[in-house]
This record gives sequence, C-alpha cells and structure tokens, in this order.
Amino acid sequence: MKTMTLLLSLGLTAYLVTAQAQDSYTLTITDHGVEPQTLVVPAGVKIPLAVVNRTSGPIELEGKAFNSEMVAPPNGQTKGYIGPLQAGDYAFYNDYNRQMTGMIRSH
Amino acid sequence: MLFRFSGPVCCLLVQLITFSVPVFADDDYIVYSPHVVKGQTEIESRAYAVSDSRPGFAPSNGYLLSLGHTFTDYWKSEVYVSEYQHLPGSGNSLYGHEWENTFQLTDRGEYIVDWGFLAAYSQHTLPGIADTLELGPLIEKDSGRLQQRLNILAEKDLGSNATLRYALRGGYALSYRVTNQFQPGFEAYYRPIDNAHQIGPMIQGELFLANGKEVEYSFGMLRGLNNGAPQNVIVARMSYEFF
Repeated sequence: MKTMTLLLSLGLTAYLVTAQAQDSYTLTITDHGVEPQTLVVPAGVKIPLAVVNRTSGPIELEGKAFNSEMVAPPNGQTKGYIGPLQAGDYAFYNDYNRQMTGMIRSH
Repeated sequence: MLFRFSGPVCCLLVQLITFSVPVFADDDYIVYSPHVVKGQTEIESRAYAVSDSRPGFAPSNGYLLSLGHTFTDYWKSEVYVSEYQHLPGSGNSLYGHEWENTFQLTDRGEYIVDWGFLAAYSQHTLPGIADTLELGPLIEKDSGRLQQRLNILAEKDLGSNATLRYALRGGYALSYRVTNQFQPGFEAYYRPIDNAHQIGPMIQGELFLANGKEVEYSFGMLRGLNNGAPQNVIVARMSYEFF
C-alpha cells in the first residue's frame, strides 16, 4: 500500500511538473509581416504562445511547430501551446495570406 | 487558460453517467470541435439521407440550417433556424429549432487533449416528441496532420412529453490533412438508445476565400454496424464562415 501510494505520488508529481517554459512568447502580426520574423524558443519544453493580430483580417498560422492551427480574429489575439520541439528551425505561414511567413527557432 | 467551468462540469458529468438509461434520441450526424474563434460568424447547412431496403427505415432524410456567432474567446452560440425531417410514411415536417452553445475550456495544446463543453436546447414541433436538453464534453487531439475528435453527449427530455431517463450517445472522428482542402478520414457513432451504431469514411476540407472568408465542407457515408442502424446514411455538411 505504501509502495503504491509512493508510486502514485511520484507519477502525479511528474505529470504536474512536466517541463514547461515559464515565460509566454508572443508573435505579432501586422500589415508588414510577422514580428519577430524568427522567434527563438527553448527546445524540449511546452511553449505558451500568444498570437496578436494587428491586421484587419483574420490570420490562421500553420506549420510543423503547431500541432493545431492558431487562428486569431481581425484586430484580436489567440493563445495556445506549442511543442515540446526538438532543436531546429520550424517555418510557418498564414493560411489566409501565404506570403506572410515566419520561423520558430528551437534550441 | 484554466478549466473555467471545471467544478460544475465535473459534477454534471458524474450525475449524467450515474443516471444514464436509454431513451429515444435525435439523429445528429456531427462530431463537434471544442475550438471557437472570437468574432467569427457561421452559416451552416447539414443534411442526411438514409438508404435501406428494410421497411420502416427508408425513405428517411433530414436537413437543417443554422446561424452561429462566437461572442468571446470561449463561447460560441448557434441557432438552428430550421430542422426538417422526412420519416418513412410521412412527408417533410418541420422537426423543430435548437439553441446550441459551445464552450472552449482549455487553450489549444495546453493539455494532452483540448477540452470543450456542449450545451444545447431543442424545441420539437412534432406531436408527442419532447423538447430536449443535451450536455457533454467535447474533446480534440491535434497531432500535426492528424486530427481526432470525441464527443460524449447526454440528452434529457423536457416538458409534458418527457420521460425521466437520459440518452447517451458518442461520436468519434479522425481525419488526416493531406491538404487543407482535402482531409480524408472516418466518423463513428455510438447510439445505445436506438441500438444503432455506425461508421464510415468521410472527406472534409476548408477553402479559404478572399477577405478572411472560409468555406468548410464534409461528405461521407456511414454504414450500419448492427440491425438497429440504417444500412447506409449519406451525410453532407457545409458552412460559410466570416468575420
């Protein structure tokens, strides 16, 4: 019983403290493009990411760094989590405007 | 984003699971997503048609039209302005209206799966059919190009024609995004109250239009897995979304 309790406690603790970045990162989308053009994030941890849309149209960001598309309404924002990512460069784009691209660099 | 409604949702789920006993349930060929986008408006049309050689199953079809809007980062509300059904031995009948609410409970990717909750009230106009309240969790897991959705919904009769029982039903959808426009997969429905279980291939996709507008579609055919289910059901959905 004690062993089971200890194992359950360790498992729960491991789950609760699953590596996650403490800081929130932000991508800002303007009529001039993505800021920053290359977002640098730590590898191996889940990243809280805010996407701020300062354009008059919606944006939908897709790329290998995103498990799920991130959609922000016109002049609005959205929040989500990406990763954990292996070290490397991950390009992304806006589905509504394929000319609008950016990079997430994980290291 | 924390679980905003975790307390009352958990209590409700426990109650529903404890007291679930089969009762008659509506057909509803859709597996809901828990995700909403603030400020988005949606016009949706859905239809189904049954093909079955056995008496009492066909001809049967239905279609509906709905209008929805997402008011906040976590709440989408949709009104089914008209629902029609054509059942064996009868003509097209206005089945009723529905007010449906989707609540996104967690941020995308925050947990192992994304969580949402559905709360819907249906007013039925056909004689002898009770109004209903439908509640339940919406779950989605996006893994790159692979998308999975699971709904576990409970329906309760209301009003003068109500029974005292709950009806549980489940829906599962899996799709693979080859391109945004072409995402093949399948859907499965578990309806113990009707003793009807179905599964079949689906194709869905999204078409991006100018000025932030978008059309989403899905088509497929469900096969009955047991004698209580229709042999074949063709399902079609289309929605026009804009800001």
